[in-house]
Amino acid sequence: MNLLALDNVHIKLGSRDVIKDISFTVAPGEFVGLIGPNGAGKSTLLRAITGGVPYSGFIKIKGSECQNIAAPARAMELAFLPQERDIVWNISVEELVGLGRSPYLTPFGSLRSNDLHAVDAAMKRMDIAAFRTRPVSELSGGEKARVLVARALAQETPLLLADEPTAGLDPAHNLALMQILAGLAEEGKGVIASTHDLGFAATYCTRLILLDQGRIVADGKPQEVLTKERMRTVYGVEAYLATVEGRTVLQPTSLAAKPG
Amino acid sequence: MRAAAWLSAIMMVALGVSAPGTYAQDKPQARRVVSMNLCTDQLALLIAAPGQLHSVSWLAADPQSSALADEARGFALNHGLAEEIFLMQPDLVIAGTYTARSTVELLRKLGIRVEEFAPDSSLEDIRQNIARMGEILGQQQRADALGAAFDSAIANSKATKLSGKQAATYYPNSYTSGAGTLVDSIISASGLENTAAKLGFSGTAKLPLEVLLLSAPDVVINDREQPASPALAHENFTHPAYRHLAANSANAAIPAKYTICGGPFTADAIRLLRDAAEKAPL
Amino acid sequence: MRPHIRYRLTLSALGILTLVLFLLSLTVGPAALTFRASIAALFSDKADVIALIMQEVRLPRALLGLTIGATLGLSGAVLQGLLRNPLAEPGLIGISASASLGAVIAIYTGITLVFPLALPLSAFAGALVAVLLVQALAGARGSILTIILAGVAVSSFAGAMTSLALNLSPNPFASLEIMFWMLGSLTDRSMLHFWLAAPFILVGWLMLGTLGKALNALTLGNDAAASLGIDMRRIQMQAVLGTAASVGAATAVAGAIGFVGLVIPHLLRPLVGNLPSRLLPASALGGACMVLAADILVRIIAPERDLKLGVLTAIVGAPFFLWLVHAERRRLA
Repeated sequence: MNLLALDNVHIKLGSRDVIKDISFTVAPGEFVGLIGPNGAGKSTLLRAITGGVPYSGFIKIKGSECQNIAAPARAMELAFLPQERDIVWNISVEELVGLGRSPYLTPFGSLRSNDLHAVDAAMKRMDIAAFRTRPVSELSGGEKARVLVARALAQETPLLLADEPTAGLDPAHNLALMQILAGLAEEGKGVIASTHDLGFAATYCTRLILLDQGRIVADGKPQEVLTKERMRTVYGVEAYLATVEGRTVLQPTSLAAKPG
Repeated sequence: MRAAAWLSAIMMVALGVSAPGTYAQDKPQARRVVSMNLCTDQLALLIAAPGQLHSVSWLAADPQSSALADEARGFALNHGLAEEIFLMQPDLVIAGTYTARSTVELLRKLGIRVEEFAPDSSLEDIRQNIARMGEILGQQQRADALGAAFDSAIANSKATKLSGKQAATYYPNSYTSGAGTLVDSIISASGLENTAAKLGFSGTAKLPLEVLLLSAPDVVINDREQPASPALAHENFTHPAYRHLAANSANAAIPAKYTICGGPFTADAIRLLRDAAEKAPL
Repeated sequence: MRPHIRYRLTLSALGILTLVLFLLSLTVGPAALTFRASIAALFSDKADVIALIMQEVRLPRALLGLTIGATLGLSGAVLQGLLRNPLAEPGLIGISASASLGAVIAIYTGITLVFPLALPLSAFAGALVAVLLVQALAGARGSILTIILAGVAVSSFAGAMTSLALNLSPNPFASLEIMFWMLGSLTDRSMLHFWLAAPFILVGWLMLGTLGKALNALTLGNDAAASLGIDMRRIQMQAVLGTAASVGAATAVAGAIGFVGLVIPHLLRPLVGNLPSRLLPASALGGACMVLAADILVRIIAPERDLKLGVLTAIVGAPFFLWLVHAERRRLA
């Protein structure tokens, strides 16, 4: 069964149609890269799936309509890593990762042994266990990004959505994070990440969905989606595109001439 | 604005000091007199010859503040503003020492004779102010008659001996009359002992509810004025602890108009209090 | 697990301090009663004067100090967590001033004479309007500055309307009572006031006290909190109603007491490891300590002057607020 199925999803923000009748499904094991120029609707679409934006049409998680699932139950199926990385209170790393266990806690409950186990596993996976007691204000940008991913992992959901998780990361952290997301997909999770890093997306994602002006322009294997023609029409750039040692290399070279 | 006037009058009494006894006897008799203070209003109403007094303050016509409200009705009412008083073209203005300093200064600069009266803070002050009003208005005979009437009224209403009972005044916002106030003299004259003065309060001061409770006065005095509309100032009278005290002691309601200023009506206040004290169990 | 131990220690210390201040509040007053006599009179069923003073004058004062302080501390912690704004506080964002306005309208029109419950209800309505207004003005992602500016506008307007309502009252004492409504006092409040406010305060506490888990999730922002299973609309509703009920009732019987909800959460946050859920009980106890202490001090410093509580809390709170603005100015800009 599909983990996630969107059917004719339409989103209006004010009077503007931001997402126009989009349909796609995500199966276990898929690592979907959600790409498209700024303003294409990537963030809005991800927020709608996580319940942050009202929509028309159907979004089904494991066959159940998203809006009919109680918020805590949905949080056990789907974790979301928003673009916003502002952590307002200076709590410790392990407490922050522990927030991922919120859906499983009673109002006054503290973390039980299975929760602590999930927190430990997530920290180990993101290689942050060494500074588990450090306050978040003392983390570097890369460390903070890893801690936030660990929080989403601690949620132990079959679906993981991430909004530009690699933004602002240096190449090493960027690469490491893409590898981890790909690894999660290999383990049978469904992962959707929006990104502007097309080269990494082409290398690590099993599938790319290209959004432009609220519509799906292309959906398929990375090599099929990323073409020079689409780089020109959708992103407005001429690009150098090649396959080197089995990996896609993509480098925008110049702005495309305006059509007409 | 009644209780505000009442309150300010209380404050005046609290701050009061006796006026110096230097009178301007060389001046011609005033023909057009304007009084701009509730206490001088009432003395002037009682002492001035017919036609001599032109205007009194608007408070003099307010039945809650003034014991002579009916008598004041025929006169022009002023609000203590320099402009309105100047236009009345008075040859004598009578003011209280604590009212409208700026008005008084201005009127003097304009060449108008202004006489000031300190508030009454004892029966003796009242007697002196009556005499002084007579001299200023050139009506010594009327003043002497009023003084004699005052003396006999006080003598008639005074308690013959101390009852040994204690009385405490308790006004809105928990104010009380301590030592050196006219009310203190009234309490003494009625044969009672002023609880607030005994506790060391002087002038008009806040009396904490728990101190009032602890002092357990035999008589509780308030003005029993029904407020025109609600305010927190009156909540001290609905406090359960106060109600308990009021239920277990004698209550004397003395209208504010008898105690704000001194005059023959001061005797009414003494009588009311003496009667209440007699009813109080010892 | 060191934060847990520190949290327990902090709570215990605050609990003991609250108890000590509560007892002090019961034993400090213009009537010089000995500690033993006053505590004994508190439980005495004799109707003597000391029992009357303890049970009808000092007990309500101490109880109101305790509950109102706890309300202000708790609501400050909740508002800061909900709005993700270290400067949020019932006083600063206009809730107290609007609750005062509601209470003033109910009292001075005489409605409370026939229907006493109108007092907390009207204050609740005033507080509710303020929270909703500030929230609407600030929007879902309101910046720290927007919320404070909205609060300034709401506060000034409510203060002006309170003054107008008092001026319009035919009772001459009314206009002098603006001090009480703007700065707050517990002098000579009675058990009547306590019983009038207590149900609203209790309901408010229940609503605010159960928000800990949601506020923890909100540390990561609204979107992350929503994805963690937090129903944002329900949480906001619960926080708004809980704040309006408890702060409204507190203000209705004691006037607006500022800065408690600002200072206390800030002082205690590092002691409880910054986690909002742990801050809630600590701030409630801390707020109770601050208001009890202020109310003891007004009785010691100038017993005859009836100093207002808000004077003392502002002496501590306003410089603290300036310091916070200084510390936060990078985020404000």
